[in-house]
Amino acid sequence: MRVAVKLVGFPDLQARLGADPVDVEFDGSTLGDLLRWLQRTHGDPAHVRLLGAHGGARAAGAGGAGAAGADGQLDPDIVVLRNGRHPLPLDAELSDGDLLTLVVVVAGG
Amino acid sequence: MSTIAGKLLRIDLTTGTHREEDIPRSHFAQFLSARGLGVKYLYDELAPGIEPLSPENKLVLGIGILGGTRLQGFSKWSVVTKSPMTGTLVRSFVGGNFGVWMKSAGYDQIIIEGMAASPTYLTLDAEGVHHLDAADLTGLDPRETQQRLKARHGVRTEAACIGLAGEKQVRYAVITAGERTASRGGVGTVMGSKNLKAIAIQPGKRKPMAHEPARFDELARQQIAMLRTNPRRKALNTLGTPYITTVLMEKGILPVRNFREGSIDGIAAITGDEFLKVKEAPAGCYGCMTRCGGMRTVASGPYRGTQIDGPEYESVFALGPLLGIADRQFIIDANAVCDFYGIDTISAGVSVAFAVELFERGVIGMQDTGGLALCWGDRLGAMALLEQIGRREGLGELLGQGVKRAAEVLGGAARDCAVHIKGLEIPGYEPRAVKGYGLSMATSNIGGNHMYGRPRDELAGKVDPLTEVGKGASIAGNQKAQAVEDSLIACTFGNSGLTLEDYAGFLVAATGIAELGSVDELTRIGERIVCLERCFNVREGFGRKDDTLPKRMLTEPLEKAGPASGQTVADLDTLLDEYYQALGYTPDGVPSPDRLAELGLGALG
Repeated sequence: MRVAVKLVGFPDLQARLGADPVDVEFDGSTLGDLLRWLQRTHGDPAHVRLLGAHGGARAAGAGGAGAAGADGQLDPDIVVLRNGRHPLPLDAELSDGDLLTLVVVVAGG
Repeated sequence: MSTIAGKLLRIDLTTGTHREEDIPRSHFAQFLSARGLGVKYLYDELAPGIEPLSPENKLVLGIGILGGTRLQGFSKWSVVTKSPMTGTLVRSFVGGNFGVWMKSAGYDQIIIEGMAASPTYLTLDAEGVHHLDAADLTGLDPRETQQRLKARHGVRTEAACIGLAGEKQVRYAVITAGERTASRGGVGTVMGSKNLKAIAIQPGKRKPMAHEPARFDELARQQIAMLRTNPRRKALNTLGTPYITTVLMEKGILPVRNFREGSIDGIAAITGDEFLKVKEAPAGCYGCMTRCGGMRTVASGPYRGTQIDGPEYESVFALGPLLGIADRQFIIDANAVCDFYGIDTISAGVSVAFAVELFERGVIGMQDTGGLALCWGDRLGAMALLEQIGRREGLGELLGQGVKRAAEVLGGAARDCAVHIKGLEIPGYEPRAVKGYGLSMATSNIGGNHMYGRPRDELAGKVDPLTEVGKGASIAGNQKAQAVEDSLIACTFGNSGLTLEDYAGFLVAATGIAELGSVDELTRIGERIVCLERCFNVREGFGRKDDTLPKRMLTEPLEKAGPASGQTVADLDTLLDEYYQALGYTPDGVPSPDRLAELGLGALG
């Protein structure tokens, strides 16, 4: 699958990917496949998190601090838009040529 | 043990006296601290109808229950008072170390009342409170004021102060602490009306000790671990809030040319990446690993050659696109001028945009502007007006009163150009492009404010931002949650990824107050605070007629705003009805006796 990825609010990942937007080719067909591929090939878990990795503690009933998504789920501070419209769920089927915009959502300032 | 100090310090400037008072534990259980306690004390102590700039008004400074602890992002402090912009209550928040020093001195709150006979500053140290002559500080900018106080009282001194604008009673003056400001609603103007130039605090010896230290430390450790990889913290740490400018413009949310349009040519010059290029050092608050600020060099004006912490998104919007300007260095320099005089960048920018539009329409002319031919994109004209506002000279005399009062003086078409809610200028979120924001700002008990109840799902695109039905309950819910966050001063940026459930866990471990461990109870506290603010305003004569938007938003289609082009807020009444119903208010926007009783405010019914 070949899609274009545009990043808003991901300075580290942007530096790794270079162009904005950048064309990427990955194995799979869903948004989840794309994000897992991005995390695996370009991400640094110590610096950027696309999918929940730590917030599972509370979801599992441990009562820990941090509301980030449970393991494998899209981080709640991130939305992904297809062709500039409507947030996608992780299981959304993508098409060749889609423009996926990853946005870190902030309200305030 | 508890992270609550349990005391307030009451300072009377008229008599030059002070005294300590216990804060009942039940107050914390009912109102938390900061905004909540400030509202409680002002409702109880301010007589209805008092003039905000009279000795009868009070300033309530506060820090949250979790402030000064190992938890990240809880150490900002608050100012609550009756606003000279709106006549409603107002709360404003500010970073720096001042609040933590206040708590280390043993106080959750400081109430300042009365009025000094001559310019005065206060010091608070181990020996108590001292009322000192501020004659030699008069006229100094906030940075110079703080430097003088550190030189005089020691380098660990933390001061909250006003600039020239606060002294001269520009109506939207700020209170500055470190490089940060309590910006909105004229809190610095109230301080100036009391002849109070500064409050300087020495750190005390009290350290907030959690009720369950081991549990609290573990929660703090988990919070820090979570924040390390949180994408929002990372975005803010590197880029700061300016990175949202382009995102908002793509959705038509970025206000341009006095809220007539939603896009500006040349936006590429003021993106987050562009501001990152000139960020020279990180900046932030006590106990916050997000450090969302950034030091940048000023190229012109009084602070030329030095650095300021900024600009934030709101200053980018107000001093840039709103004036038709897409010039990075101008925005930094204009921000520095506002900081130098001590004025709110949002109200100042909206006031300048108002003047430019009036000039364009012929309502005012060069005889009013001192020879300036104002136009969109005119950097020299905009800078000149900011200077005039800060000094309260020329057209700045009028603009420094805010657009509502200026429009009342000018009359006619000026009223159509005045973009405010209840007298407070609207920040950088276009209500016609996010209808829930329109409802939240219209019903805000402090006037036009973007932090009173953010429509997060609409901003994230999870809910259609352009529909005008079915949003009342969610906005009411957001306002309750925001009241909790404001009363803990859980910074929006420093607490990425946390929810009320997390706060509940923190609060029980910190205080041992079991009822604070319930999200339902925290939500009820949030509603109680919003309701008490509404009761304060109702007592002042506010109601449904005031829960509205500027005529521009209701009748003029938004232009050049992408997906929001052509939008108005056509049916605010339906949104209001939903909102009032969700909160148990009457159709006039007044809390019902039944709802007051349910919230434990039955005595007010």
